Amino acid sequence: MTSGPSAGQQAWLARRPRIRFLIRRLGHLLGSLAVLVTLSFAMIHLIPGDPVRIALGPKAPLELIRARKHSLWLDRPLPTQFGHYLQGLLTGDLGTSISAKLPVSGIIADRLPNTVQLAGMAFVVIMALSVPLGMVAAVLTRDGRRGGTELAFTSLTGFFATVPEFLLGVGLVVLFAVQLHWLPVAGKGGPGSYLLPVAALSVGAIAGLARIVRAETLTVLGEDYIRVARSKQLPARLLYLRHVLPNMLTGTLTIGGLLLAGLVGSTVLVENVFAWPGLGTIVVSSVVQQDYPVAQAIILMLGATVLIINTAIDLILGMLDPRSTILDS
Amino acid sequence: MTNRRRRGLATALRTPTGCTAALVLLALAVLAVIGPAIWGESAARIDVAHILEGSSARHLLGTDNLGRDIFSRLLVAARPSLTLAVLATLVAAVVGVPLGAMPTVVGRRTGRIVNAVIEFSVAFPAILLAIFVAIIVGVGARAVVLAIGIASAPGAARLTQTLAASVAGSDYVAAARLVGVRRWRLLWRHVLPNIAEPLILNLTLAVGGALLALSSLSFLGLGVQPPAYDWGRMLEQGLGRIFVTPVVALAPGAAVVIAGLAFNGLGEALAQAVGARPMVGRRAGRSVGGPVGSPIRPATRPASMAKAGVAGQDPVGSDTLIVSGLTVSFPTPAGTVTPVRDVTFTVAKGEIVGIVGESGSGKSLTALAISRLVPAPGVVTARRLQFLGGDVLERPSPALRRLLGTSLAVVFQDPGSSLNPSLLVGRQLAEVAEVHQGLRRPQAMTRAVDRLRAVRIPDPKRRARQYPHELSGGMRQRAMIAMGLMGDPALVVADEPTSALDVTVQQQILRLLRRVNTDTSAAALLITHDIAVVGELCHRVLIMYAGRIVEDIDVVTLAAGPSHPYTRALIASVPDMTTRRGEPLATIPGRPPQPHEIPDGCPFAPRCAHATDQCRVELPPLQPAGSGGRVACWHPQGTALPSRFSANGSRS
Amino acid sequence: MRTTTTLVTILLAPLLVSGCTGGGTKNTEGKKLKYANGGTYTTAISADAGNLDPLLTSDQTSNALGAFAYDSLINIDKRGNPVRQLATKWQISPSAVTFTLDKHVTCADGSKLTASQVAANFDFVKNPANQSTVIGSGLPDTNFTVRADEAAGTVTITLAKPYGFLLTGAGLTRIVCAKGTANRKLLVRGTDGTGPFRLVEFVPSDHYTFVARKDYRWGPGGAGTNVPGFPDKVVFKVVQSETTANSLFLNGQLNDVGVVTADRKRLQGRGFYEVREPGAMIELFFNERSGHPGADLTLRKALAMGVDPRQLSAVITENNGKRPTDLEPNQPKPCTIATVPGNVPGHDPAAAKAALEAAGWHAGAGGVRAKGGTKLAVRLLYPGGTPSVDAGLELLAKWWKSLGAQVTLRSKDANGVQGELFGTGESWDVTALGIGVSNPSELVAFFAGPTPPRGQNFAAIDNPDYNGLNVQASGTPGKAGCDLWAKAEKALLRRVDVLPISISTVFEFGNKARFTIGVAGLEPTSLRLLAG
Repeated sequence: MTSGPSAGQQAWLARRPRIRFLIRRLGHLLGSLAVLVTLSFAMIHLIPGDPVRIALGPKAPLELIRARKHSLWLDRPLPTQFGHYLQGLLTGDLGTSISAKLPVSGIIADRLPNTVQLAGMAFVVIMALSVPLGMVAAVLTRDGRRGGTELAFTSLTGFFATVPEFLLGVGLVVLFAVQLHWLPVAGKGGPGSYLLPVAALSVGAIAGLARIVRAETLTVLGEDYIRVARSKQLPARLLYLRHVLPNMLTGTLTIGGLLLAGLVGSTVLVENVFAWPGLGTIVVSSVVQQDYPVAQAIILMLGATVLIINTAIDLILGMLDPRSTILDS
Repeated sequence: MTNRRRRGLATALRTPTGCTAALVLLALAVLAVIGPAIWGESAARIDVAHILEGSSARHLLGTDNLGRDIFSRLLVAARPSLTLAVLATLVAAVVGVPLGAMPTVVGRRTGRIVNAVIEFSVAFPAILLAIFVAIIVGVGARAVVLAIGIASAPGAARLTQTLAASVAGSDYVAAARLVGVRRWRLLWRHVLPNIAEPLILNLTLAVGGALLALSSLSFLGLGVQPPAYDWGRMLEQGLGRIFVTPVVALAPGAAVVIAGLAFNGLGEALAQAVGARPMVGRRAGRSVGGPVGSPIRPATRPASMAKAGVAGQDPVGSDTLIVSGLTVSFPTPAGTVTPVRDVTFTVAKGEIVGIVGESGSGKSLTALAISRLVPAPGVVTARRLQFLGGDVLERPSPALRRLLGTSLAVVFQDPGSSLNPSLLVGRQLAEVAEVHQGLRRPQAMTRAVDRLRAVRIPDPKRRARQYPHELSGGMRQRAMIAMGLMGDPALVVADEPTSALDVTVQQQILRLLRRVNTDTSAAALLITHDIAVVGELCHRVLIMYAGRIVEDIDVVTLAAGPSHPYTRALIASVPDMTTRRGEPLATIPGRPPQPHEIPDGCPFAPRCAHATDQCRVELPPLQPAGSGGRVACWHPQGTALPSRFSANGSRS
Repeated sequence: MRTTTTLVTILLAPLLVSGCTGGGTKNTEGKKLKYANGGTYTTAISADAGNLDPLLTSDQTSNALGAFAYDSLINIDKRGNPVRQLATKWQISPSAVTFTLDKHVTCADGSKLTASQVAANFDFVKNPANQSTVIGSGLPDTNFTVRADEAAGTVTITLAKPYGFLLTGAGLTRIVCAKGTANRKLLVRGTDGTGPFRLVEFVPSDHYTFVARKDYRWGPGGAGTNVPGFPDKVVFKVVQSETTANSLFLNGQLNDVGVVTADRKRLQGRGFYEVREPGAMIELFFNERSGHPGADLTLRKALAMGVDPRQLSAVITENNGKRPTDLEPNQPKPCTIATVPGNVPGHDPAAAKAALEAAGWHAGAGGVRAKGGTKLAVRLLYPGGTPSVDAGLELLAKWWKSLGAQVTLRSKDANGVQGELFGTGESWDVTALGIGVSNPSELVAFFAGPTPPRGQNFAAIDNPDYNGLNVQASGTPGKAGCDLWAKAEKALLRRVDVLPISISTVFEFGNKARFTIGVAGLEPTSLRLLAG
């Protein structure tokens, strides 16, 4: 974009709703990230007591505590601390773990990929299975056909959407690893070690999303343009893939985005079931061990991941969905 | 709304899911009240000699680390488990409801900020929020209640916001605002009372989500701390014994899941009954918006046609469309209804035939049946239903599909919803040519642009590369017509093509239809409730009433004076130059019968000034009338059309 | 093996000794073992290791892993006597110690270990800017000097003030080689020592892989790695849950596992190699600061009489514990005199109630006793999270409630409990934990002297008999010393300054493997893989 008078720019933007939308969404993201950063910074100061003394334990001499506080910048005035915190964030310095004495950025860098891997695979599996499942269910049970199938679908998906993922994970381990010896009990290893954690993460979400996909599909199937498409006597493949799927996808992806954000949270639980070397296994221990720099960084990283995912999904939807509703909102 | 909800609750309780769920919840509530009193003692009885036992006759679910009976503890734990879940939901409500109500009260700018905050926090995973709170507050019952409450607050806020927005937009709130009722007072007196019931209902259902979330936090060790116990803690402690004494883990797990299922099940049944998805607070971990709502049955249903053709003996002709004995019926719980009954007519090549009738007369269904688009439970039968010689009721062969796809064009009432919003206009046109005429994509697109030009859409090349929402209503309808012209149209079925359009645009579309008719010699079947439109465009008109054709008449005769009293009434109700101002418009007294209450005799008899006893018991057949048309009336009227038909008969 | 972080032992010992130290039941097998030819030995740790730098780390896992890659100047044998490792000889005076190094020791990179290199480790510790964790655990402060004599191969450490545990404190410090000292960043996720293994793979929260050095032969008692069945590799898998570790073991994914809960039933009777090791001890401490019920001997005695240690032990150890006979749970221990029997108040709730009545504590509203308007309120602070300990403390609370006390249970994680005990000391009345030591002298700091933050006497115990006897005992060597230590301990027990409850049993199972448990965990040179 060339620099011009602001009125000209505004007009330029007005003619390009997508760019305007992009800029607005990115601004929104920056605002949210700012809130998140402030919250994560504030966290350590909201904790009652002296986090350093608690974390270092009883044997720590006063000089060590002082030195540690100094190195954590906790002995400076708040604004200075915040400035330092921001500066650290920008340079990739997230502080030092109190208990492990390792740079937090390194701890995060080691584990974040594992968490992302797990959540990402689960997301792909969820999308790949729930969309066809929901669509097929909708097509089979549209207009109140096949009452039995509908009942089976709603009760099964209802059940799996309710069972907490950690319970499902334990159940899967008992059955497939301990009883049948088919798959590893825990840990990250070969491809087989992914199966159970991904299943534990995705089954509930697949059930939940498949129901939504079915509902969305049924709604789309009732639209006039589907009648028109039917009147064109299109083959079923074209009808469902070209006319139903894209229109159903907007609603599905909106919820899918929320789902992916939720997956990041669910991973915390599932990682603890499967001793998965991700952020989830250390976020709880960092809370229990009061290792605040780590807890702070994890909340920040996972939160930022979620925000970025949401923005990305919004942007994708905005680009995909030609209707101006999203662009204008 | 309140009544609808209440009826919804009653309906929901009558469904098997709703009934079971409600009974389970009732049992849980009773258990929470009486459990500690009955089993409290056995739940606390320590027996160190029998610790960590499995299931036995004495201890159905075994014993815990102090030899206490786990079954009793499970029953007693219903109270703390539900209490904590309820408290967490209350926290969510206390934080979320004011937040969600704020946009209604505060100014637009602040409201926007509040909305942004809600959006931001709804997207944030509840479990992370809960861990964040746990870091600050520590672990334990108080902490988890706060954590889950705060984590669910955005959901509650979103719910309140949505409900409040729907009420705030309603007429009486607008009126209250108009007369200067203060915002806070507006909130208290007008908005909150109206959303209270759905709000409370949804929040109650959210308790189930809170219960599941509590168990998740307990699993992480952040939940209730000893000596207190709830299902979550029992589950967490039992998980360590799952291999040695599985029942110890399975029983509390089952309790949590059953309670969760019951809450969700009730919510689902309610949603189905009310016809809307519930908006409930989120579960930690899986932050899909609330429990899985049941899908809403769509109002319109996709088409599929049951074949039940009976070979008829009607004359074979070269007519474009031959319809004989067409009947459409739908099975309903109350019995079969038949909105279209024994309809017989033909459309000749190049002929424009109008079908006129009030809503519910079966005219649209007739059009759908011809286009094979009657929604599924509908059963279409006919002695004969032929389009260009092809039997429409047959199992669709590729040839028939091609025939229907290329030669039969359909134009619906609302151009806004007839075009697929996510496909380029050009692509929607082009696909007909691609699928049925074997054109490649570029050629098909070129043809689409050409067809758009043919319907006088300016700059058709650009328009073809636009999405429907970028076109005006009139342009969309033109595009729909252009879509019909992609193939080799022999018949355009236009179902109220102008009703959703501006008056000026209406004229353009009608002219376009006429031009299509003259240019391509395609016949047209124009379905409308507006008899004036018919007069302008059609060659011949079919008047439908209660599922039957009551008169088949050419437009010239129609203007001169139809035979059927109903047709006459319709014409009289059209205001024209002769209508004197200040005089009330003619209306037809009474209302058309519903499909399930059609009488044996002439269905129009109850509203007809000329009805006799014969009319009331005997159905008049559709017989040739003098003017070359057909009429179904025992007492066809003379040709002279009374200037004022039934103003005197109006029983207002 | 799995160290016992899930257990209740709080590591208060100055030597950072794990709860499950070695030398318990010896498993003697008649048949001759068929050893495997090398291979990978896989074991589990319950928590992630932090910084692996032995001079900067303080966590138990890093310590257990460190034993595989680093040696110390001396080691401790089964009887608690110092034995040679990197140093062949040592000379000790109250404030100085001189170690004479073994000249054949080489580092993992093949370089020779020199005296100045050993001294460099203590120079690093000495610099306050480095915040070494050896200060406070091994050596009392940074006020010391280090001198290396390259020709004689000696290193001398001289303190400004006399220090009783100088030999073990300095001798057990892990020694880093030249490369690591020069670039400490290498030590965060790698190793550079003289130990039998070196770290080759570090996947945080997942696993750590060590590879054996073939030329190692300066282990405890001359143990080396060039023996039949010695593994080529050792993999430590991070597995938090004991149940999960057991499943992995049963699945053949682990060669050994240590179990404390009743989940061991899955593993028993399946023909696995089984060793029982004493695990963590649980003892009750009373806050004896004024204003707390524990300040009053009558109340301490009454509360103690309300406790049935047999039942409590059964609950806490899930029916697999022992009653402690003295206050040193860890093996090997120099003194073995049973001090507990006969010196703690017996279980007698009726007498306890009578004693309370006699002392003027009468039941008031809700059955809670009060004296002069002060309620008999007990805040019971303990490290929770394990079902057995939670249950045990619940039982304890119930007993004391029935005596007429108002009991508040406060469960915290181990760090949280430490934070409170060594904070102001006002937030608790009774605490349940274990002090993992093997030598009675290690207990002195906890039972006498200044209270936190200046000292470690967290319960503010001031027992005149003990104060005298422990000084006397410190200066008396051998069996006579042990007799004096026993007297000192009995003085503590009789005054109910501490009430020992239980020692748990750790069931160590091996699958195609043999091992012994050392001071920090698995004894690296003891690992053997079996064929078949």
